[in-house]
Amino acid sequence: MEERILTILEDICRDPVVREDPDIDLMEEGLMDSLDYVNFLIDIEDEFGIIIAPTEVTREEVATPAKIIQVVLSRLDEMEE
Amino acid sequence: MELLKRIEETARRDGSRSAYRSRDGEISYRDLWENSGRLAGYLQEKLPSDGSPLIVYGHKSFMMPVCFLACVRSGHPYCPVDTGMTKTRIRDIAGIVGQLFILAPETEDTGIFGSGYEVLGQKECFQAAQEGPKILNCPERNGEESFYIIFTSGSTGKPKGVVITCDNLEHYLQWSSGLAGGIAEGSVFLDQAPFSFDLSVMDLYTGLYTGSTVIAVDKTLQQDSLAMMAFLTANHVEYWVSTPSFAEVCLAEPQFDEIRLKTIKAFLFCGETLPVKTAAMLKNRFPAAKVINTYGPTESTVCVTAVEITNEMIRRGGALPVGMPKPGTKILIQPDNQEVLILGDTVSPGYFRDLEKTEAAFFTGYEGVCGYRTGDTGHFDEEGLLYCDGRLDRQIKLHGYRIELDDVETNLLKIDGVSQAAVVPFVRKGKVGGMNAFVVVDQCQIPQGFHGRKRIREELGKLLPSYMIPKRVIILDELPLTANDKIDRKRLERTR
Repeated sequence: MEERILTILEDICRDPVVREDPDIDLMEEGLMDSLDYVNFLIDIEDEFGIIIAPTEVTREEVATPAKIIQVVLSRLDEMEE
Repeated sequence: MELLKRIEETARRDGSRSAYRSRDGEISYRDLWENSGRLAGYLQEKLPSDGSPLIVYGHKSFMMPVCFLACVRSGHPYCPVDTGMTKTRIRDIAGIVGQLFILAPETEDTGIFGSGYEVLGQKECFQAAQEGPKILNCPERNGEESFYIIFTSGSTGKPKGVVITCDNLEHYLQWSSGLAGGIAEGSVFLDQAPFSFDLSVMDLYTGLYTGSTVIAVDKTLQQDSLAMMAFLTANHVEYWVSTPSFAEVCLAEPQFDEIRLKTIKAFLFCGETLPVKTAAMLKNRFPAAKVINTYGPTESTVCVTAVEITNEMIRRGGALPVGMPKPGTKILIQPDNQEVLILGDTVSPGYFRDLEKTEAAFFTGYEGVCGYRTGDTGHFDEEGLLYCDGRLDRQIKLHGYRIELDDVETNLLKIDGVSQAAVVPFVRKGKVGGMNAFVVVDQCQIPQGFHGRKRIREELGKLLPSYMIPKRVIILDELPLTANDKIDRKRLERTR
């Protein structure tokens, strides 16, 4: 599951560092702007069928690859319940 | 034809002078004239005099120029096909040319064209050039007859044969022999590009036109820069003709300088953009040599503008000019899209047996002058120097912004530590989703890994608006080159 999320993230951020450094700050390092973030959420919806509205989560909650994976995984869990 | 007259005259006056030399041998002006005459006699007996083109298949053997001249002297234009081309492309070209008789003076492997072709291999070519009928009623070539046909890769993948007439070439040579302050008789040229790439016309025929010696380096020798430099030094090369990418490969070798290559008088560039960094490094390594930038498409006989790059131009930075149009050529900039239009006496009559593509790219200007739409974009400065800005097909639209990929490349090269750069679009879900920047860096100045990539993006951000910053920066040891030694952007587009 993590692997699929990382593949999407790498495709969006266009830099392999998102795999190498799970705690890198994506916004701060210029790896993800707001448009990329929206595209990322669309791809997550396409891939996993979960809808996350951009306003549902704060920037802080999705600041790093590790945090993003956490958010997506917890949504997937909720969906299964 | 003035070119043929001059070769004959040099053969008569100073016949033992070397006309062409490669690692596999050399040929004097006397033998070049004599052997091409005999081979022409053989061809006249062999083929109907219908002016149909003939493929000459080979690489850098001294028999190549013999075959070229033999074709022309027997009334047939020639079509050079390099041994480095893929089989598919070779067969595509042979299919379009439509002539079943082929000259292959460098190989006994005559099967590459497939069945149905009669291929005159190495031994037979050599024999015909030695023993062909001496009498040759060498026809005075009409200026409008074709001299050569060189194929360029069409964007659809189907090759297009650019027809260059005797007059086109003659007009070009009248000008090219005056480049770099005028080529003195008996000079020495470097021949590096495959003959299937019209850059080679610059050195081969400017060389023969001026009674000079052409020193050819084959692909294998080009792989070993030290051995190649020793060969060039031993042969006293004076005029360097190559793509900028080829010179960049040589510059990676620290010994590539005027101490080893004492005789270099000028570097003549064509075929792709000359980056200011490359010009600066050459000026630094060869302070006494001229660096000449030229511009032009195959469709207008090698090139139509030239300028000597000065230290002042290098200091100014940014894009280098490509120069002023030669006499007999007029360049117009289309107002709506800045496309460069070339009109004049070196513009090809069109593509061989391809009326549709000819009509799409060629036009007739005032007083019947031939014109060609280059697909390049450009502008003139207040001194009348032309600058190439990019290609119409290298403009992308990203999030509503129009971006010139070449503009991004030029700015990447302004960053300290970036020595080469190529920017290509990447396609995501069927549309252009952004840009990938491939760069070669000096590892002393740019750190490895993410920090290096980030640094490049940040530095570029100081030069360009954020929508012009490539999303992805990929650091490579070297950029891939095509068989013609240009940056292989198509291959980079396929790299993820």
